[in-house]
Amino acid sequence: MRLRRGLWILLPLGLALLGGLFWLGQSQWLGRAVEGGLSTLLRTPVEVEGVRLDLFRLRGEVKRLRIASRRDPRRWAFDGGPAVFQLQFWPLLEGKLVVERLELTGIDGGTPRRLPRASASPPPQPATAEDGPSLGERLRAALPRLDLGLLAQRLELDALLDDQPLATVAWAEHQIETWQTQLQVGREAVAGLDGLPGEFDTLRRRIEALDLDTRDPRRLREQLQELKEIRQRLRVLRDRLRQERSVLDEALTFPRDQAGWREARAQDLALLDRIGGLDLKRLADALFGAPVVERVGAVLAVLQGARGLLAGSDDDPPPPPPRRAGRTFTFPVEPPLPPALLLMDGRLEGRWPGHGPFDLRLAQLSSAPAQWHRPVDFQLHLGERPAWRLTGTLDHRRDRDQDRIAVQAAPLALAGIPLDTPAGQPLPTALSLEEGRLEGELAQEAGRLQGHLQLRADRVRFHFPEQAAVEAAYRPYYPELRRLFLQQHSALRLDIRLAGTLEAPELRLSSSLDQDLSQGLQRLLGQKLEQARARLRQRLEARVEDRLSQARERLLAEAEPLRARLSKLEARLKELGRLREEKRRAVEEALAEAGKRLERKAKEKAKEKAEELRRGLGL
Amino acid sequence: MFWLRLLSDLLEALQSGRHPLGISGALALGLFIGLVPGWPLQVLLAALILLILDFDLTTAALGMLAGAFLGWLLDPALDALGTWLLTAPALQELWTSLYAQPLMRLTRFNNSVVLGSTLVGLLLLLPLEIILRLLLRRYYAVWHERLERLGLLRWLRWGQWLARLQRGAS
Repeated sequence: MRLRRGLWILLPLGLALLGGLFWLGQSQWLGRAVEGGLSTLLRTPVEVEGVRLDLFRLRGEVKRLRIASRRDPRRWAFDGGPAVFQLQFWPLLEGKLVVERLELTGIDGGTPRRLPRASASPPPQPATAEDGPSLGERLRAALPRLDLGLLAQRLELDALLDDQPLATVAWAEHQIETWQTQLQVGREAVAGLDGLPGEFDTLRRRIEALDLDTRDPRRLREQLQELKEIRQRLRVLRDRLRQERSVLDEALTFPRDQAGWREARAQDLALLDRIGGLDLKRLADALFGAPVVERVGAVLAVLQGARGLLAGSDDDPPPPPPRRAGRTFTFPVEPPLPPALLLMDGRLEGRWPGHGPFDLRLAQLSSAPAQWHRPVDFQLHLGERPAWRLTGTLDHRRDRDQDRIAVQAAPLALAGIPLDTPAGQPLPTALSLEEGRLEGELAQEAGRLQGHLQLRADRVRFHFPEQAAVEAAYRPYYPELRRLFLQQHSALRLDIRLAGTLEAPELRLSSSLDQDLSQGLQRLLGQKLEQARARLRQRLEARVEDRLSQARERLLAEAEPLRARLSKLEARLKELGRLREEKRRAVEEALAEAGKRLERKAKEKAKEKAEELRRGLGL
Repeated sequence: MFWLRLLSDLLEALQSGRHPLGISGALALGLFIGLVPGWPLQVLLAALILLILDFDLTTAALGMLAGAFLGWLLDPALDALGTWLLTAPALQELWTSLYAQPLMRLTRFNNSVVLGSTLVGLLLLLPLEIILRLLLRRYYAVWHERLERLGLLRWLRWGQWLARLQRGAS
């Protein structure tokens, strides 16, 4: 079998083809082709400078790559370079893209772009429906939102000081009300005796109307009977007066509800313990509103993007072939075979618009981690003040994927965080963190989130209200309380715990202030604060006692006429009794006298009858 | 039109007096290329041999069509054969050592259909070539002169020309 005749023509052609490919890798034509391809793909102008592709060493360089913004054509959405990448040969033959090294530096965004003359200075075009949202926006929209407004509903924040009256004061008010009710009962009781003076007058008239001069025993006995009736009536009236006296005495004794007093006092002491309770919701809003949510969102975006990328694998079903696809077997070999897409070592460096410089390093980013047997490692440095550092691994080698991210940020300066302090309280109304440091870890395993972040601020500035704005009751000890508060709370530690799922994350916050206060000010603030608390307690008790004393005095003043009136009625009753007794004695004496008189008269009559009989008999 | 041209090209190759191996080998290699799905390394090598050596490319194309049809028919059997071989415990060490070689992975031997069809293709290659060569010798001895006398090739070229004319007019 001989060689084909045309082979000698094909051989130079093949060599020319290789030479052409080499020339192509170095020529400007490649740059224009890349520009055209990317412009069509991204639907926006793209400029590429200095493209060099070494097809023999599979190494590529791009001096500068710029992608125009679709929203504002006068700006570059992406402006970066130089970029260098190195591919591996054998995987490329197997249809796999293994990037051994990728380095893209000088990344910037939002830089000004000089427009071609034909379309000079067109106004920025709003995004049309056809354009659709950018990849970043879509990614962001697909992410679970860390809406702290909603999350706040789930936050386990300590209860704040409500602007409610002190319990002991409320107890005193209730006590005074009770006393007033009792006094009213006494008033009504005394008012029920209004008919007594008239009755006393009637009884007096009846007693005085008795005729002691009569000698008629029958008449005297009738008067004695009437006096007995008057005595019965006076007894009834005396019993009634005693009863009313008892009611009045009971109403004016002002007993104390000791159990209620103890309970109210305990409540107030607990309230005093919580002086300085901060509105952590607002604190969290301020802390996590703009800077952290955005960055955590960015971290989650990376996470989500990586998940999306890692979710795909080489086993994705291709379009159905005319022939049977068969089964592709893999065999355990060392080192493991690279997957369809692998970035072994990547570095992106530049400026993130609005956030400052960033430096991202990625290693072992693959499309099939289970096959590659290596987790993705990344490091991100972002910004200068504060400087954020995120490091972590995205491990999707098994069914239960695990992601771990460590977060550090310093220095964090947050000014004017408002605190929900009730008006008139001697508590700070706002605080500022001057040198904060955030550290923590976030982990995700099979969709479950777990994380712990800690914010430490060694320099905390509290903004107190003017003394004139503080309630009068607090003013005398306001400076001391303020000094003690500042003495204790010069630093702040905020713990943030993340749980739940990627779709519904849960955030729990607690601060050193909560812990301090919940564990009791006494232990933490020492003897001085305990003394201050004791003074506060005494003032509180004195304030309550004052109110009670005033009420008691007022009630006693109101009760005095009632007592006097009752005494007067009692005196009149006594006097009537005495008058009745005198009359009774007089009637009884008159009756006795009449009896004697009748006896004498009977004796005389009997003597006369006996004389008449003697004379009749002639004796 | 295509089939007419294919037939005329085939007849031309047969009547050209080329070495029988140039035709039988082309048919066998074409059958192998058609039988193995995709473009693994062994198919590329077979294609390279076809291009470098003086094989008849029309016959090779015919062989590829036949091989593709045969492969489509035998796919389930080829798949089963490949699966059986790839899962055979005794061969695991062999496959693993081959899989560790980048060059061998380019043959896609770890795919059941590719392995089955490659083996069947290789087994068919030599017997097919021998049978075809014998048939060709017989053809040259008996039919070559008769067909030459019939002028069948001339008629086929006329038919091709007319068909092209008709297509141009329409």
